[in-house]
Amino acid sequence: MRDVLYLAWRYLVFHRLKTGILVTSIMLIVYLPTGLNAVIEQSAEHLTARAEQTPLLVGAKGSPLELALNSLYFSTDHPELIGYAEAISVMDSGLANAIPLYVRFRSRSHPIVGTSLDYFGFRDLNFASGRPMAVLGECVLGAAVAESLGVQPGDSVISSTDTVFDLAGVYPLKMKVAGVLERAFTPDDDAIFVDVKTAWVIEGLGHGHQDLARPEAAARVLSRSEEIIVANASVVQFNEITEENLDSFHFHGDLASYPLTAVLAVPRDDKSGVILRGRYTNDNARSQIVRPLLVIEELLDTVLTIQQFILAAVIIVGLATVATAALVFMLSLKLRRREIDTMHKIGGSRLRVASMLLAEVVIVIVLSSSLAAVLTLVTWRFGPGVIESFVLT
Amino acid sequence: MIEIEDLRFSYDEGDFFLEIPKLKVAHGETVAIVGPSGSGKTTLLNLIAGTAVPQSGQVTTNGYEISGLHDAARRDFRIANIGLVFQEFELLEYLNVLDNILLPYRINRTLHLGTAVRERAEALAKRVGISDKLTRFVNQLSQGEKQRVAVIRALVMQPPLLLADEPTGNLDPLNKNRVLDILLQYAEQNGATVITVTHDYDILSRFRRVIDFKDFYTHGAEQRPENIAGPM
Amino acid sequence: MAMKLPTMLGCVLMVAACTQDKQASEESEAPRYPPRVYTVNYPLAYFAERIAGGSVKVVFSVPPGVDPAIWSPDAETIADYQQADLVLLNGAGYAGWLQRATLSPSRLVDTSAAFAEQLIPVNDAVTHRHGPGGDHSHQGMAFTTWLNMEFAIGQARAVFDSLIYLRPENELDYRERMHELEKDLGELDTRLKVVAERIGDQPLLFSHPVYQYLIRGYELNGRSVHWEPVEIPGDDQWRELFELLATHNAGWMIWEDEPLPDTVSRLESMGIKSLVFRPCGNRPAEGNLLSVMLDNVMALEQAFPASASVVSF
Repeated sequence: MRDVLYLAWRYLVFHRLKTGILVTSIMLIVYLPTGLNAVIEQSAEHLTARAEQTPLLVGAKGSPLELALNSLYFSTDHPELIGYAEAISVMDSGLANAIPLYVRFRSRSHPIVGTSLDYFGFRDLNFASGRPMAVLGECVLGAAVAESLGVQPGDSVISSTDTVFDLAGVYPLKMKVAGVLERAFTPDDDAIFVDVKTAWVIEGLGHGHQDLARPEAAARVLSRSEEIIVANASVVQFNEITEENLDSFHFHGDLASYPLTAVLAVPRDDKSGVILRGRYTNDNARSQIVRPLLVIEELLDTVLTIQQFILAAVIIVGLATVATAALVFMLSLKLRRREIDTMHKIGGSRLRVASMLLAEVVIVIVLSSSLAAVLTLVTWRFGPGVIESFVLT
Repeated sequence: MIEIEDLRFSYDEGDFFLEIPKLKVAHGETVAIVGPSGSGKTTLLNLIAGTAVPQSGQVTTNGYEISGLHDAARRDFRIANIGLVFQEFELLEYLNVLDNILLPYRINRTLHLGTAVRERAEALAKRVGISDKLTRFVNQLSQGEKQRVAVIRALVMQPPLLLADEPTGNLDPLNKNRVLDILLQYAEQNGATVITVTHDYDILSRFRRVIDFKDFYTHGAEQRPENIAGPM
Repeated sequence: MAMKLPTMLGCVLMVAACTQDKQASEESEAPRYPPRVYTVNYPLAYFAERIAGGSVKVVFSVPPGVDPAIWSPDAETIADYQQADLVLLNGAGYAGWLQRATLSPSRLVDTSAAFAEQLIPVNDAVTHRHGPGGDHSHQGMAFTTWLNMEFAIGQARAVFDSLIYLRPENELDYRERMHELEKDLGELDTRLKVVAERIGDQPLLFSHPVYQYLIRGYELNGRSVHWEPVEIPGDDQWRELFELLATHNAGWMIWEDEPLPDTVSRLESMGIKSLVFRPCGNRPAEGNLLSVMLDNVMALEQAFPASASVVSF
């Protein structure tokens, strides 16, 4: 048996190009359905797990999918905005705890998630180092962000302005890293968490600036009357919140009207959840409440249908590949007629020679299946992350 | 050693046939068979080796009537008794020189590929001057080297009978002699019988006996063989 | 291609081993007793201490001598506040640091929410405009709410409600102590109303604009200057006072704390007497909120004795 395998292996190695092409095509045909399945199953599991942990989302009326993807996976597209008043109203209802979410800004590719301290407890996120953000301008990094940027508590990260060019008055904000989270294997690993008020500062809704009544600001003051000082836009706005200028940061107007992308509502119990949902059934309501699990399940149904189509196509291609491989094998038998004759003449039995040829086929199949298995495992491990980052950015 | 009696052979298709009323080759004889192309020289070698079976008559080799044996037994007999050398070498391009020499041991379940065999193969390779090429592939060898490898593949099993089909057909004079030296030296040292089919009249003098197929073969039933024994 | 079969199998197994996800370690947080209640000023801490007794740990971190309204804690102190089970806020924009700090909204209790509509806006800031944001001013609310004893009682009730929510098993005790506290504050309210009645619409001066709720709640005719008890008023400040006195001929200046003797005598030479009414935003060196308020009320009662009131009839 060893000799048969040896001779078969030598043949395949000598014809490595032919073998390589054969192995690759069979591998692909095996891998396509298994890999696809792995990606979809894993993604579905990831998506569903997170949706299951998120009981209710309040957001502006519109696409529930956009609301869920933005709130759960911090996708780039954000839903229409709602006011902070929605969070207050959920909180005041006594039916649920309200965790505000303002997922709109980014630091390079990492989403900046404006939220409250309760988010960490809600998602069971533990601190690997440092502490939660305590004052404006502080942030907490997901494990993957800290790793990719190579920063730790005490360092800084800067918000990006590229996605918000349309918003006048938006300056990149240098944020101090207060803490780094332990890895959670969820989208939280890739996020930068800030107090929702810090997100408002990034948007320019809250700001710190020179006291316009002071002489240093004189050059920027356009007019001054008893009550109103008009200054030009070059008034120095701080793009970093430090201990020195922290006290100058302030918000104008009613915080209740400040923007959020969603409110994560955590009902006290099932009954409270039902009552809370009932409050949003009014057609005239400007906001909606969604159960992320239902939204994601609907999405997965669509994906499954697409998967069926792809599988059917792969099966047809697979049959074609098997037929082609068989043809190649038969042609090669014909070309090897003399070799086989010689083996018979110098004493090789028919069974022995046939075993050798069969061994070649088996090795090719084992090789391609193993490679497909490895690829599938790799896909199982990393595929969903790649797909999610592809879909969500 | 080899006795052929009343042999008649024809292929399934075509009008070729071979008839040999009587042919004897003694133990340790070195025989060259000559004759025109298509006269059945190679067929005779196949009949002796048992890779072809006559319609009638007997082929007895070393006391075994090989034509009466069934496939597997003929194969076992061949493994134990016969070494084959072909005009086109018939080496496997995907094996290196050493693996080609050892091929009989890999494709026969009855043979054991042990250290002794490997040493023997290496010793033979050294004797014919290709010991530095054992790890090369066949396509990296010259024609002469290829035939030397093919000869060693036949010798490594130490057969008492060597059948060579035009072993020098594709070789230059120098290499012709080297290959013949190897075959005939082996026969001499081991008392083995050598039967060689050849077109090359220059080398006939090196054989103890020459059988000219012209003398006794028949083709298309026009002629009958008259001299079966051939020149002694 | 020359890879041997066993090596390849090894790779497969290795990759398989790597895919075992690290199980997220679950740390269960042990319930913390007694629960910690943080407050942003002393009156709320006093209310919480009175109502809860020893059943919760009341933390009030502002150092002595600092006005909690303008105190700004460092990040580490805020991190302490984040550990609180409950943070009692005064509301009305009191303690500006809150809008720059990150605290769990679910643990914050605005004790003045119940009377939010009765809060007094103050507009002593300059409106400014820069960039596209339009006009904006740093306008706020008057925040020394507890100087109106009715509001103080309202805040105490909010404290009471949140403490019951925190430790429902103690409701009966809390209710009893709340009753006591309400009685004490109610007495103060009554006495303030009586003395306010005696004061009537006599003009009063207040050394600092922190008495808005006292003035409005007890219908006093008061105006404020911006004087610090421990600082000698400058010429500008005296001039401002003279201008004020022209329309508001007050006989008393009410101070946040003991004023400097020189200031007192100069005022007296102008016919203005001084008395101290401590807002007690921070923990007093001696006594407690109730005793300080009692002293305040007594000071007023002495300044405006009952007989005087009779004489005026």
